[in-house]
Amino acid sequence: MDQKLNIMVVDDEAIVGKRLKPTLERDGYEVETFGDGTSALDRIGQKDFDIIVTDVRMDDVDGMQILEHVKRHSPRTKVIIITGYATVDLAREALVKGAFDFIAKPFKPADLRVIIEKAAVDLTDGQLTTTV
Amino acid sequence: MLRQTRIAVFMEDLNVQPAAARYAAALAQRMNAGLYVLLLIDPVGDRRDTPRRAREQLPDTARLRTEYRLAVKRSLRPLIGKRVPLHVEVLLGDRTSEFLKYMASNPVFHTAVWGGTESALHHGGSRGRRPWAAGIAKELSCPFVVPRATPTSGAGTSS
Repeated sequence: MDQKLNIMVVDDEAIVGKRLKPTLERDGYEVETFGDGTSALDRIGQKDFDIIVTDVRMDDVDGMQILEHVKRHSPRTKVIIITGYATVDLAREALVKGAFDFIAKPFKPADLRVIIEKAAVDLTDGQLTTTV
Repeated sequence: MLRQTRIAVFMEDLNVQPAAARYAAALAQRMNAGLYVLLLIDPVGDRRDTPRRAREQLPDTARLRTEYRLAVKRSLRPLIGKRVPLHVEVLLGDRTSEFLKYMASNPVFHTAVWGGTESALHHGGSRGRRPWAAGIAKELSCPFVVPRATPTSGAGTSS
């Protein structure tokens, strides 16, 4: 069985989702993009995502709230935090709250793809451990 | 138990500045401290890699880290001598992100020393980006020193 992993990308800068979606789809993932935290949370209530890539600073619901919500309701989901306001304190907060990884903007798509690939391997390993 | 004082040396490639290595070693000896070298490497760089290549990199990262760690030790030991305890950490990935994550999960340093060239702190890459190293100082809670080679003493500093 070779089921595609689902990735959600949340960023109020439309260009981020626009650039990442085709790149990640070419890599074999199913990708949904959202421009705000509220609609992302609505969608998370309807569907389980394997990986969520979220910006931190957004108007309504921020990335840390998304991270907390996801970790409460779907601990297996890997959350990757991306931010243009990267600091040591923010990195610490993200990691303490259970983020899989943290990446400062601007980043190269290839750097994010390596992180997503690691998350995918982690998810697959987790599945093998629980089913064996 | 007493915790050892830590002096950090940040590097972005294997070309450590001798003035920086000597300054850090002298300070570590004076403080009875350990040297913690942090080498930040972005193996992906600006290359347009395929997902297959990205996947193939994963099993190699442990080997890559070991090779870099040995290379750093080989290049530093002649400059710092044998007495100073040397710890080398190799971080692979986007340098700014890796630096922030490392600082987020590690104890504070007494002093941080820039081990690369001074120009790397001021000049970005080919696309005119702000160099990642320029943001180091404001994220540190300790003095950040940029040693300079001088004709008379071998190393001066600016911070």
